[in-house]
Amino acid sequence: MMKDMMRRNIVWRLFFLQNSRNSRILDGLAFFHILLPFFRRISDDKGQLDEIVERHIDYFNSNPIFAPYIAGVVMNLESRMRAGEKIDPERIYRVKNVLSSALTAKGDYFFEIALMPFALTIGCVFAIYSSYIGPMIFLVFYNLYHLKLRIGGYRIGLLLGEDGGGELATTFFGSQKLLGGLGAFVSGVFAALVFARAWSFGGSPFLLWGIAAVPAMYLLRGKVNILWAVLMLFLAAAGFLMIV
Amino acid sequence: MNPFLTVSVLGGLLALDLRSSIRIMVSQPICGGLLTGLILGSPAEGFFAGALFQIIFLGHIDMRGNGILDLPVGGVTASALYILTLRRFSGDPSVNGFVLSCSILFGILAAGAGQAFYVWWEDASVVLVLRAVRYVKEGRYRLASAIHLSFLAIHFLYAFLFLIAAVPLGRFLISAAAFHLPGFLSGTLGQLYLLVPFIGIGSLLRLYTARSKVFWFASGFLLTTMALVVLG
Repeated sequence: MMKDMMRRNIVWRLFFLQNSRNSRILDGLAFFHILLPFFRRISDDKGQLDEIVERHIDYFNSNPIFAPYIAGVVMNLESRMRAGEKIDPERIYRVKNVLSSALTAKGDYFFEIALMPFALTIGCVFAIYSSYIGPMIFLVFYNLYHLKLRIGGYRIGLLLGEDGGGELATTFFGSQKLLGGLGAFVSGVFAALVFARAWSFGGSPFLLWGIAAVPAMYLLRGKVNILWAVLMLFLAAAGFLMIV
Repeated sequence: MNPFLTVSVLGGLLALDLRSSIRIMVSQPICGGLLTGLILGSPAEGFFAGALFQIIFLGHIDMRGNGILDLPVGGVTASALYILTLRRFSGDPSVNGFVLSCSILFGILAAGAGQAFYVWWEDASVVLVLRAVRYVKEGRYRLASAIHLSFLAIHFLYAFLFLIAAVPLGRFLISAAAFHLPGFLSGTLGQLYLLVPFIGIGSLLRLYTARSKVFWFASGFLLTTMALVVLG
């Protein structure tokens, strides 16, 4: 019962991983905060607690949605060490760092490049037709992966430790390629619908305007950040419209 | 309740979703715009402005180390300005495009301002975090945890204070511009929002020009075009 409460307490804390993000130890303070109830539980006395905490208040940087898996692995290893298994604290430290580096890159790619553009573009396809279903579909689709990975990843880490990486990879990264392809397909659908609406809205002049804007944005995005790219395009379009 | 206050509270709550990494993504402008519209009593307008603002950033990826764009605050700014300024003109369709274009521009500036603030804050907060680390080493764990959790207030307050200042100011500036700018100028600027969906496509294309993706993009485009032609 107490154990379940402690685990639930940790799940809740996992949702605030980047709360105290800073340029020195990034999410190190948050990682300590997440695992504090666990450290309290496995320590026999204050001296032992201080020793464990000392090892974990350090630099930590990971994708926030994959971080629960790392927290689970650390808990698994620490528990086994307390139970008498021969595990070097240095190994726990190393596992934590290696996993956080690897999963940062993997997680950012999965969520930022594969899942988000796909789910958001579906939402925007519905928005073209002023349908409120768009945001709902986006939220359901995104959170299906997000919550499954956050809570499921934590459980996998907790139960299987370092060996859970394979299961995590099979469960999630297997769909990465598919999501990327679907994202590209839905973006194509979105582009066609925008051009069709532009045609019915303003005919060929408007369509040509759009045809000019797409490559301009594509090229500008390669050179400057998105805010400047949009402002430059707006400025160029305003200038063009005033001259014409 | 004062609409500026309501919108600012909403913006503060949505900022928590992104900044504290709750990340259920209600903070994305497509959802934030709809929520802004709902609390201001104009869901259709809020959704429209939020969705347009979202389309600009469809292909945008936040790079680690550069700070994350403040899309929650940007989306709420754009939607709230559109709704509240248009209300001042009693929904006059002749200023609709101008108000929408200006609202989106303000939203973009808000997103940039939030990004700049957090780049600064991640450096400035080091002092507090190091103090928390010191507390941990002294065994004062509750105090360290309290510092970590107190950052929630910073995320909420930044968005709240920004919105409570920027939305009334923005509404005043857009209204003044709509009143005083010559017709041809406001008419021209009023067409800029029409560019937004194409900006979104250009931005998405940057993601999908890899050889493995471009086939799927072209397939989606061609199949939809054919379907539209066949179905009329």
